[in-house]
Amino acid sequence: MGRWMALEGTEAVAYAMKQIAPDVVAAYPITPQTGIVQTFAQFVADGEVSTEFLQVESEHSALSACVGAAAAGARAMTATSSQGLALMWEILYIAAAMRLPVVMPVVNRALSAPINIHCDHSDSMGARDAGWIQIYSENAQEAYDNTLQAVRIAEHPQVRLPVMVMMDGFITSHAVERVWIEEDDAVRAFVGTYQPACTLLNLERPLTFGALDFYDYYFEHKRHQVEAMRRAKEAILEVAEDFARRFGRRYGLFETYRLEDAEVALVVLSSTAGTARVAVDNLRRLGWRVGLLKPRVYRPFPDHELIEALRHVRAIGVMDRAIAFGAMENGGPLWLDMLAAAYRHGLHIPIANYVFGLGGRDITPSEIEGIFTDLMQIAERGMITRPVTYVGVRGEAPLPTPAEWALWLPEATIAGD
Amino acid sequence: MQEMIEIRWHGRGGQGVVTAARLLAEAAMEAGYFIQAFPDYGPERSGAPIRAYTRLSRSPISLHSPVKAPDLVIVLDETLLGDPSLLEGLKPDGWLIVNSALPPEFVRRRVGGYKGHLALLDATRIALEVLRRNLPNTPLLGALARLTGLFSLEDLTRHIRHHLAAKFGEDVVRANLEAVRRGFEEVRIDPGQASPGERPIEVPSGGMALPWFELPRGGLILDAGNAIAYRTGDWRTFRPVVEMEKCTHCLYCWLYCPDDAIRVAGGQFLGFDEAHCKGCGICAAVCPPKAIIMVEESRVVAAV
Repeated sequence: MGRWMALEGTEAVAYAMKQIAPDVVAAYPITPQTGIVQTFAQFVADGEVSTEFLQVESEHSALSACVGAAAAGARAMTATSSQGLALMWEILYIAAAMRLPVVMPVVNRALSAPINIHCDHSDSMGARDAGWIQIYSENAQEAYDNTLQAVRIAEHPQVRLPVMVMMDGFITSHAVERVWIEEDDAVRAFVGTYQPACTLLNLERPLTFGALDFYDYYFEHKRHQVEAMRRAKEAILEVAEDFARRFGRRYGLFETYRLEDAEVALVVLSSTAGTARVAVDNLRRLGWRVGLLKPRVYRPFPDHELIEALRHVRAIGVMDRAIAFGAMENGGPLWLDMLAAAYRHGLHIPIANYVFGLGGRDITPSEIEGIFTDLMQIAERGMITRPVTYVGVRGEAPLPTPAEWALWLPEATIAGD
Repeated sequence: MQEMIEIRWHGRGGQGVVTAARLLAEAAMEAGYFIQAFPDYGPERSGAPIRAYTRLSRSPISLHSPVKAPDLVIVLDETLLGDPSLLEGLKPDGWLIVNSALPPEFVRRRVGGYKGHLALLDATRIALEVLRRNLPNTPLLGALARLTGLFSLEDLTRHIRHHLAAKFGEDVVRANLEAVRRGFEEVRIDPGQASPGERPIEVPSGGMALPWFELPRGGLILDAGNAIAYRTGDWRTFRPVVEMEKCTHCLYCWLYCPDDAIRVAGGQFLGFDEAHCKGCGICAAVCPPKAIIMVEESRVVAAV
């Protein structure tokens, strides 16, 4: 039997890593590293896990060591955050292109400058095109569950891609929550033994890894990577299915909340989805038909599935905890992907962007209610006047409050359940 | 001239192929042309076959793709004459221009019985005599002025003065002008049989062409050690020659050779792996009894 434990998000992930017992974990031990590696290093020091723990001189080296270990046939993991992820940049692409199933929990935190240690998604969003699978977790439980599943997804014979598992910095990483930790043996049975198809250390069958690859082959190998990313969607669902069968917790590409009859929907990642659930309940009590969609898998982006889940609503709000500077309207990456997906799948409704919470700025249910109010107005008018709102930024026009909206909202439209 | 002339250069790393493509473009610009010069970049390895391109046009050039159907193919190194891709796409009325002292029939034979326009210039000899260095580009420019009529000797003179006078003394400028003049005068033209209306020369592409889904993932090479099939010995411009009576079998050459091209058995030096020796000269440099000397490849080839 498993057991309930009071764990911080980082501890929950460190537990997952202990149970996975990777062959190699390489990490850089000081800021911006998080409690994940600290806790895991303690497990190693206490002899609770036999992983070879490499303390390297930078995050760049941490991922490089994982690349080497994975190429040698080891199950390799590291963890990072913020500037650490930024420093890994070039190796991110190498791990993905060499098709090495490295699993890396990422604690989402802001990027300098100005110097900031708090939550936003700028770090992992910047890595969205690096060829890694990206899974976002709402809370410590999801971070734990996703880390376990990430190993299977990464090593899936149809995939063989590295996976990042995200949790929100501080909000999830440093908050203690009730987490169901599965039994070690059950986890071991679920993740299985890594069976690398090709390894550097197989002397019977010598191979060349990471060779030069010019215009005659490079593009073909990139196309190969596309195929792996395409197949990942199915593999993720297959792994989630097995996870649900063994542990009872069910995961998909995304999760919806009171979306079935919603007039307007909010799309938001990670911990804020939990906060938004409270806002949805508050407004539902007023009779507003609002709903929520929380993407779990951001890469590969489940464009078709997302749009089908949202096809019945009249307006969509997309909340982004990052800015794609210089992109359309200086909006956020999730919004841009949602707009593209809507266009691609013929959904022609207003889709507004709400950039929020940068550098750890709080986001509360009442602010999210403001966003829903804005969305109700947009749905009513059928058009957007402000495509991107920077929520709660001083000097920006504030969002309407539900009370303001209720004053001139026609009675009929708010009469709901 | 036609609206645009396209030129493909063939040579070996270290011979100034890229510079040649650029020099010609600059000279043509001086004469009022729109220009483009660019190399086919790869790992820059001394002696490896490389290509560069020059485009000259009466109007601005918006094309940014490799030259596929050249009007001129210029070969800086006659050891490349056996390269089957040398004539690829050459227009039926185009010119093959070779830096060579060989008679035209011999060159034609080496280029698979080529019948079209041919021009030959012993640019290396002129360069060695006049510039005292193996810089065949400058005499070739003179030959191109004569052959193409794209620019005059006066244009070239002005260009060379302009570019060299700032950096070098009058002696260097004069020597370069002399090299150009001799290239102009000494180019040997062998018209051959141009056959207008014929299609550009097609060369079957020799490379592997696996579709993406048949490739091992991640750029993995399953048959490790297949570099042995890559005959880098063709890159040589110099080759090591050993005087066996001086060799002490110390095997310094074997230790230092970056290409594992020293043949050794039972602790004895046996010779060089000519299929892979690139002629870098490290073995000769490190040989304690100086038993290895480097000899120009073309001399060895000519002697064979």
